[in-house]
Amino acid sequence: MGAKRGEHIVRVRTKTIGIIFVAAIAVLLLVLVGCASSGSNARSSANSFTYGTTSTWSTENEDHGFNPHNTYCGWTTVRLGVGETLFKFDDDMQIQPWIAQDYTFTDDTTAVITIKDNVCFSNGKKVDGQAVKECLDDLVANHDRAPSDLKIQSIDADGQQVTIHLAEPNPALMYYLSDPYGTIVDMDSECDEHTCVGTGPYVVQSTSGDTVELAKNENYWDGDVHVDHITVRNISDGDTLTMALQNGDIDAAYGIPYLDRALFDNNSGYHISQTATSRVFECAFNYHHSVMQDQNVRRAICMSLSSEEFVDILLDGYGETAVGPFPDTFSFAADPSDAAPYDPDGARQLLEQDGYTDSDGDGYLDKDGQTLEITWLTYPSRQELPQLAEYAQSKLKDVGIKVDVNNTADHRNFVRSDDFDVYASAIVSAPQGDPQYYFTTQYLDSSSYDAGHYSNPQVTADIETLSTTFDTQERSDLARQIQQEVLADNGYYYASFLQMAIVSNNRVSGLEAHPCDYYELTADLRVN
Amino acid sequence: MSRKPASSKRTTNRLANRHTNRSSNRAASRTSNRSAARKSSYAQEYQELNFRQQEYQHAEYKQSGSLLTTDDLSSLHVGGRDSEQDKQVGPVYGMTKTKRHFIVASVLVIIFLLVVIFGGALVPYNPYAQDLMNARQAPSAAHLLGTDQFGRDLLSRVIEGGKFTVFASLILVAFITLFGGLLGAICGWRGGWLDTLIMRISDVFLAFPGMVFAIAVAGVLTGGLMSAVIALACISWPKYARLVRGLVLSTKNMAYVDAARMSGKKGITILMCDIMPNIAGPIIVTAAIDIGHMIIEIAGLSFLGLGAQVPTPEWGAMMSNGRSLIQLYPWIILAPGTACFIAVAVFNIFADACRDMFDPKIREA
Amino acid sequence: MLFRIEHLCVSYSGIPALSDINLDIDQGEFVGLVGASGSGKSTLAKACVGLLSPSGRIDSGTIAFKDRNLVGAPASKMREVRGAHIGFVFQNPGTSFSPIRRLDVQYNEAMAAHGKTDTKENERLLLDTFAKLGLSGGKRILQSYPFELSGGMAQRVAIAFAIALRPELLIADEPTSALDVTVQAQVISELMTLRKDFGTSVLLISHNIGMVAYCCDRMCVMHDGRIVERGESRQVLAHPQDAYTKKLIAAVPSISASVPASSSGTSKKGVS
Repeated sequence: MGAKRGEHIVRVRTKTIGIIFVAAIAVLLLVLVGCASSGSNARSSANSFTYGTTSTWSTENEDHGFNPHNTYCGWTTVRLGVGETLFKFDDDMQIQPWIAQDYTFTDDTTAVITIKDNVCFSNGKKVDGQAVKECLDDLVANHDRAPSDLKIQSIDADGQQVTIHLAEPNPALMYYLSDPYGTIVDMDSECDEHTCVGTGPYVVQSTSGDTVELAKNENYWDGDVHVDHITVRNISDGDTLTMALQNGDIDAAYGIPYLDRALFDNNSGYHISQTATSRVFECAFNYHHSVMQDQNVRRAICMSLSSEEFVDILLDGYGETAVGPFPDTFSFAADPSDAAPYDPDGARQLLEQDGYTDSDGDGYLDKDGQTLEITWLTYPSRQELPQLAEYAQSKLKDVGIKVDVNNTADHRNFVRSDDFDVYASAIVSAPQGDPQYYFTTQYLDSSSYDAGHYSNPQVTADIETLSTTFDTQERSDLARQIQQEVLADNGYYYASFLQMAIVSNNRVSGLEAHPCDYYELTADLRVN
Repeated sequence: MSRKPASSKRTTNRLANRHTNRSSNRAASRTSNRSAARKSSYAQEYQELNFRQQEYQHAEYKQSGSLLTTDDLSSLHVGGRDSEQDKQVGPVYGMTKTKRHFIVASVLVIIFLLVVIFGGALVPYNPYAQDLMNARQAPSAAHLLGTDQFGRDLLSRVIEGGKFTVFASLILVAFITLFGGLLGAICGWRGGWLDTLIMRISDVFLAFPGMVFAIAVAGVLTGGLMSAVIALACISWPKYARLVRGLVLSTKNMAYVDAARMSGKKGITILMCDIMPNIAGPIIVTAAIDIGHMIIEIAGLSFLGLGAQVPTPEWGAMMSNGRSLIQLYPWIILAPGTACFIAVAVFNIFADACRDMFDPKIREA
Repeated sequence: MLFRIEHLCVSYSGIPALSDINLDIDQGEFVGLVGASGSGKSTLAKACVGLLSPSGRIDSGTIAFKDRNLVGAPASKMREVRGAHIGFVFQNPGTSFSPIRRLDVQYNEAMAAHGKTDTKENERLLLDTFAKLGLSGGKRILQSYPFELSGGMAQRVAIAFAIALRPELLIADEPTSALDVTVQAQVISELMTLRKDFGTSVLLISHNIGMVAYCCDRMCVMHDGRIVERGESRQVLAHPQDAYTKKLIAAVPSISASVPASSSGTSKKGVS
């Protein structure tokens, strides 16, 4: 009898433990499934929209905030439709009225801007000259780049007019004011990482680490807003973004990597709005290193690489070919004939004439016992750059130049310590549609971004002249001349331009890509 | 009475011998023992008790049907030789299943390593030659594993890249196993302040996000595959330190360790000769599994410039670079992925076979 | 006096395990230590050779081997004494050998630790010991792994190893408790041979009072960490003074002619 009872107890105990195990596993499974599905809450209702982006609201790009007077936060404000600038760019990169009606230069150092009469902030307050003055004063007082771009000395306001007094002539003033840092926000309201009060079609409802919730601006001055609620999610990895779009977690995506584009092209579920941007993939040559000081070497490098081959084959056509730093949509784009022709054999001959031979038979040219070897510095966050590096490495090897690739997220340190021969990077060359910004940041030895220490007295003089030229046609001509001089020097090599695309599913319309890369969410946006 | 079938010669011989010797020895030895045991009445009774108990046990054995029969037991005499029953005690030599497995596994590993080391000379295409016209081709007769985005033959790249990947991973795992294992063994054996100190240091390493540490290392060393190995070696050793420490602690209290102490051996000798061989099994198996992990970890550091630089066809780098292409051109990532899988499988089979070889109970079975 | 323990007190994490133990063993003596489980017998054995677990401490007292105090002796001195002068036989023969190494390898290592590196000589010595103890097939035994030996065989081999260096004292901690009855007497008789052939003193620790009485000259009874009775075995058995000793003796099963065939004989009382 005792044995039977003992057996019974053991059986009960075994069953109990078994049940606890199974129950625990079941609960855990439920929790996991629940957590997974709560992430994809974008089976949006009729008037709401979820937007994924790799680029906005990211701590990496210094735009994790809404105060336009803080580094690059203005980009977030404008891209998400929360704020607007005095003027905006059209598809030809010409400025058009936005908050402002028009402008004139009464003399070389004075400009008068007239504000439209019907503009108000989202809190209902009217936008007048005083509001604009307060905003611009704060910009000049606090921003890092704006003061030297704008050269503003003082501002007067009178009714709907704003008079700007410049310290020196600045013909590009209106272009610079159209940069997102020029967003007009209400200085009497909160303006920080979490919110600001602007004039755009959407207002900030709440923010969190990687998400922004927007609501319709009931007081929008420029027409009807058709979407009630928008969720913006920053997804820094391009492949994750692609998958989020594919399984419907987001309705539209900015920043789909070019390798994933084929998934959405010719796909009836999606439509794509794409445009060539002025983000150029450029290679700077380090003039502090003796091997790069030899123009024959620089020219040979330029002749060994083909922008067409790179774009058509390696990028699968998802890019634009480059000659100089500006895409040919710009009137001041460089003339194709100014660039070195693609001629690898010619490159080899050039080097041989320069005294390089393959004396030790290792496949690489050498001179005076030194192999012709260069370091190619680049970084992985733009997919095209590592591809370019590997492409260049192989093409240059065919010509006899040895390339060591250093592909690291820590590239800035290497640039600072001059530890490279070629530095390949991606830079927006004409963010304001004007060439002066690029020239002053890249072609002058004093420039902040002139990694290769390029400098040419003629070019320097021409850039000086440009800064005081007001006629747009003259500016174009001068810009082309500057580029011709740099290309003749083989001071830089330009590989391609980024083709930017916004991919939307079929619920969405009105989401268009712009060459200047500033405008994304607008009042034109509609969802079904 | 049921008897288990005599499955080996050993048992049959034993029984046979016992039967022949039984009658002659039994009577003689019992008598002599009994006379020797008449020291005290209690002693005799003690002996009687022994025999009585023997008989009870006979009955039990009979019921349970053990291998030994009544007759067998009665021939076991007290105080004399039991050479008959132990005649077949001793090593069983010859090819057991375990040893066969070990040989097969070793051959597999050797073949794999030969392909890795020398395969580069036998590849159909130059692994580094770009052929942009044939980029992203699916596997076909001309290119058995397809081509990558630069038109390079994937089969050739995978074979060529084996030496970088496999050796980097092997060196890394060998280092962390030996270094971490040694520290863990010393901690477990000595205990005290040394143990506390090293364990707290390893806690710091474990708590530190590995990526932060790798970034710090990347700042000090220049990029490259060996720098990645160094970075990972610095952060991965605590796992083995803890594992080995735990194993040593659990075997430290075994009787044979005391026995070894009793035989006058020095502490370090006991640690190396008695404890370590006994705990080698789990360590080897963990190390083999980690070979695969480390390949992926090395690839994970590539964004810092650590790890193989282009155009080296290191498998981890090939996989992480091909990640974006997986939906459209999956073969670009499948080729190095399969190679990785094969490598990990081969080493795991070998490790299992090694572990079995270490344990003589399994080895001689 | 070969071995003398005086006023030894041992505690585990502050809890006393042995109190005021006094014991001496002379050359060639066979001394027995009896007690129930938990009385401190194994603690005493371990304390003698410095094998107490980390939580154990010798609080006070001396353990003198040939007039040299082993309490607090440096590790090198202990290493010298163990094996060569004091041998130890463990309770469970299966685990007292390293399971994955051959016996001859283990034996040679142990000998090497005492500076005897000539393996041929060592083997000859051991086979000699085997022969004296009545073990045949020594060569084959040496080439085996521990798991290949039966319990009894292993224990006898352990004894042979323990006396390989001819220590003056052998401490046997419950050597037969894990063995079956048929082998127990074998082992005991081998221990008695040691004394006869080599002059080894033996300290036999066991809970089996009958066995101790059979083979030991003198015996001590332990209870709760103290020695409650001591004297010549016959004397202690026949005329126990202490109450505990009396209870212990009374609990031993008696031997009578009419033992029932079905029971295993644990509940009989009475002593002749």
